[in-house]
Amino acid sequence: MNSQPPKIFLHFFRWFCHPNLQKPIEGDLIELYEERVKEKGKRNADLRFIRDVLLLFRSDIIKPVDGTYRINNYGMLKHNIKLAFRSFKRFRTSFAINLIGLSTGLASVLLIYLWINDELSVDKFHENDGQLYQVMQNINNPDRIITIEATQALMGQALVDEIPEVEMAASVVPVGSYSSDRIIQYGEVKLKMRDEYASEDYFKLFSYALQRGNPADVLSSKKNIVISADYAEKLFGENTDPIGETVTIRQNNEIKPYMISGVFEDLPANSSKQFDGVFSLEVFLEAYPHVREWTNSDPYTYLLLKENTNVEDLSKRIEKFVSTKAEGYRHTHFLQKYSDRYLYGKYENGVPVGGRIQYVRLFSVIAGLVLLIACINFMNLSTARASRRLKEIGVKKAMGAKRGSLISQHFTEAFLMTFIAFLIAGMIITFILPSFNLLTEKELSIVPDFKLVSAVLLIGFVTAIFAGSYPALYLSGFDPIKIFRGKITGSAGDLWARRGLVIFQFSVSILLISSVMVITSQISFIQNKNLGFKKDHIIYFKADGDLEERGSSFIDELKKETGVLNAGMFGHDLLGNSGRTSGIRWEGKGEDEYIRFANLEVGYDLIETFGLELVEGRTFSREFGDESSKILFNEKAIEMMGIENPVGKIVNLWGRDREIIGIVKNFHFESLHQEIIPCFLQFYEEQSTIVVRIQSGNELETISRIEEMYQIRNPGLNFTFNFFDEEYDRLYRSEQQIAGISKSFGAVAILISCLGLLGLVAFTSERRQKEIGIRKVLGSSEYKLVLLLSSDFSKMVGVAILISLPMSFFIMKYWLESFAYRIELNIWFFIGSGIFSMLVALLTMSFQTVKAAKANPVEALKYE
Amino acid sequence: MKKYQLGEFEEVVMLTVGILYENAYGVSIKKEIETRLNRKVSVGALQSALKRLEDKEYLRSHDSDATPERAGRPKRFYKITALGKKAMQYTKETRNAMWDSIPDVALDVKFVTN
Repeated sequence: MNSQPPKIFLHFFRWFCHPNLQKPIEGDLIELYEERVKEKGKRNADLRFIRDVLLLFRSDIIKPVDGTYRINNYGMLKHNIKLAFRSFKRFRTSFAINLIGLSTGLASVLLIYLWINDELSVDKFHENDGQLYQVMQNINNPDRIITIEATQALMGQALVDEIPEVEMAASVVPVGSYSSDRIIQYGEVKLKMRDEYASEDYFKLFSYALQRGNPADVLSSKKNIVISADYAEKLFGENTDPIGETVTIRQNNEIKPYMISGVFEDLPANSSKQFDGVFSLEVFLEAYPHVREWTNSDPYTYLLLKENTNVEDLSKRIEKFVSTKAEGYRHTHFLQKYSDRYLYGKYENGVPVGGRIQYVRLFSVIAGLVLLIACINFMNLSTARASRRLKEIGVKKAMGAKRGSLISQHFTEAFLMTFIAFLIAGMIITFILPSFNLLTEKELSIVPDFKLVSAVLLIGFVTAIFAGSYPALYLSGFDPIKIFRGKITGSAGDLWARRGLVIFQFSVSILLISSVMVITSQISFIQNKNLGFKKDHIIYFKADGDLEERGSSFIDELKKETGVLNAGMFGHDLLGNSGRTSGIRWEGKGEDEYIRFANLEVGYDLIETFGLELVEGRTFSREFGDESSKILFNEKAIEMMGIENPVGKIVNLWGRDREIIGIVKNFHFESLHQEIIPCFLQFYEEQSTIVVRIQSGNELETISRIEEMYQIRNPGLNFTFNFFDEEYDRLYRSEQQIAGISKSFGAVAILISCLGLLGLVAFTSERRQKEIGIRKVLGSSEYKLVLLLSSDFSKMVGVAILISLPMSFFIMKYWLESFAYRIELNIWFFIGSGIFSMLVALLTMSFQTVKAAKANPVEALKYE
Repeated sequence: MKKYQLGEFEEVVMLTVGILYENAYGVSIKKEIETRLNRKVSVGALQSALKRLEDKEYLRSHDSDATPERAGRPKRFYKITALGKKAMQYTKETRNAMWDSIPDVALDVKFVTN
């Protein structure tokens, strides 16, 4: 049994329950819960559990507040709470409005808090976090500086030897570089593995806890491999000690034995690195000896610095470190804190300029705004109905109540309201969290640790103080004599304050709505943009195992299948993963001319499979014998190189002559954040990825046939494939998440604002009942009355539109600038969202205004 | 002035505790009432009734040792005290006496069907 009852409610129960009764009742609750999970499922059991806990909240069960009984304040507090409940009951509409508003507001804030907390915790779990730095490299190209993680293989050790502040270093070749998957095998069990190559101190530097093995020497030998606990269990079964066992690994067409020297615990979800196995870096250096040279960059370098190191200073000192080893090396290095890289992973001109942190900031602001809107409702409604409670205040003051006690009365109300809203927010979150996790691709959960509890207390406290302060100070300030003389009718200043707050609420809502509209249309623009190739109905998978060597024969078989339209092999993926080189010479190239080309390595039929269009010439084909001396360019490249009549001309790539056989039309092979850059396509027969275009209609059948064929070649291996269009959409995952989240918060904001408006309109129409009655008697039409009642608020919404539209225009312009291909900012986005919010506001108001205008004037006037 | 105060639901709880004898704890009492009387009993209502009865000393309780199946929480078993037994008997006797005092005529009601 691993289903747990909703934690917040369990903790709530523990908190209020009498200590004598707590344990046995909790036992009963858990017993019932587990039974219901079995019988009716978790959701039902959760609901009933919550119901039970709430029904247990009664005087017999709640722990006594012994000790405070004797203090006089207790009586006052009780009195205040009683009064608060009475006022909730008396003003039911505004109570409901406040409650809905505050609880959705709080729920939004808490969700965002969970999300931010998770974002901030990424990579922070390493014990050495404070001293853990990564060496970054700036590639100083003449046109711009590009920052990369790859560094020199020898750099880590050299830094430890030569710079006293560097205590330890690890050089790591990360998962995914050097292409196709490794396959690990023990007995009959075969698994694909994401692996890293790391130098000896890796497990000492990072806190990837070892279940078995000693961090100091698990990577000491080339024959060693360290695997994850998950893989150890899959390969060797539960509770066995795999240390010393030999597994075989297939990599680079070779099968080699390795000895398990350690097992690390499964990596936490908030680790930005995820891998299943680690080899010694020596294995990598042996396979690629050129990486040892100081002019080549491949492994990532991580450093552990001594405490109290001046990092800025050190970062400057290592800037030209490599040029002391390799004369004339012009690329430079700098240090960045390892755990900062997740949030500050974007670089411009060789310095970090943010990254995900911008979303963290954006969402904090949005959550704050939503809560603020809810607080404003509370303020507005409590001050608006102040006149109805004036007598109460007057009587209290006449009886000798000090201002302080009146203030505390109203604060009690605000705190009580916040508390109830929190309970409801807890319920909302319990139900929303799964879908929120789906949207954000996280595994957030409510764990009532110290941090969460203090955050909740703080948020609650701030909300209550903020929402309660204005009404408390305002209501308690009246002069009792004036109250009884009926002199107070609400001054112009209060009216303005109230108007200002409403305008603020609507400005924020409109801002959110228009932003959502722009974001949504930009995303659909991206998804539907003509990329220069057809992205639908394409699947791709790694040519691993047996296919590593004999992929092309497999493709020949594939092509015979019905349902397979075409297939080819590819060294890249058109999803942003492509090589870069400037090593091309051509006739007429200027001395200083410098162009970086993207390098796409393709096999036969790949161009046709993707449906790339040719402008001129031909593609790689079997008919022409050896194609490795041929090359294709895209239009952009030809244009930049300035070659006339390119087909048939010779260029020199990496010292070898190649004949241009064709020009392809420009196509997008990276995210639309970037412009199309010059690229060439060169030919290799065997590649790492197999791309298949399948016929639409019976995709599933075709794919399962492909899987069967794959299984024949690779018995025992899982067939994992991706749909190209899905992976393409993933490039814009963060934009989609932003759109999703801002959509929901935009909706919440406008909902809360409208609720507030509804409350205010209800209040004014009630106060103007007599006026309406008289107007009606004198012959005013219902339509005119509705207009009269709505006009004031419509004006406010109008002002809000005027304020917010220019703001949203500039914000959205800024956001769109991060895309190289973007929609034009159409004025209708803003006019549209303005009209939309105005309509929503009018519709909301009409609930009340129509009712007030239709009322029989006799009802309002008969008492006079 | 009532000698023994026992509400309707409290009486039901007392009777159930009696029926279950050695095995009367929260969940079992709840289920027994629900099956016998075909009415829903919330954990809250039951626990507060048990607490009141214990305060009136009609019931006494002891905790079992912690068992793993309830996440290590003990069961609290209830037993009827001598005072509790008197209260139950008193209620029963007074009811019976009242039943007996109803003249037969008053109960001679015929069902009328249309």
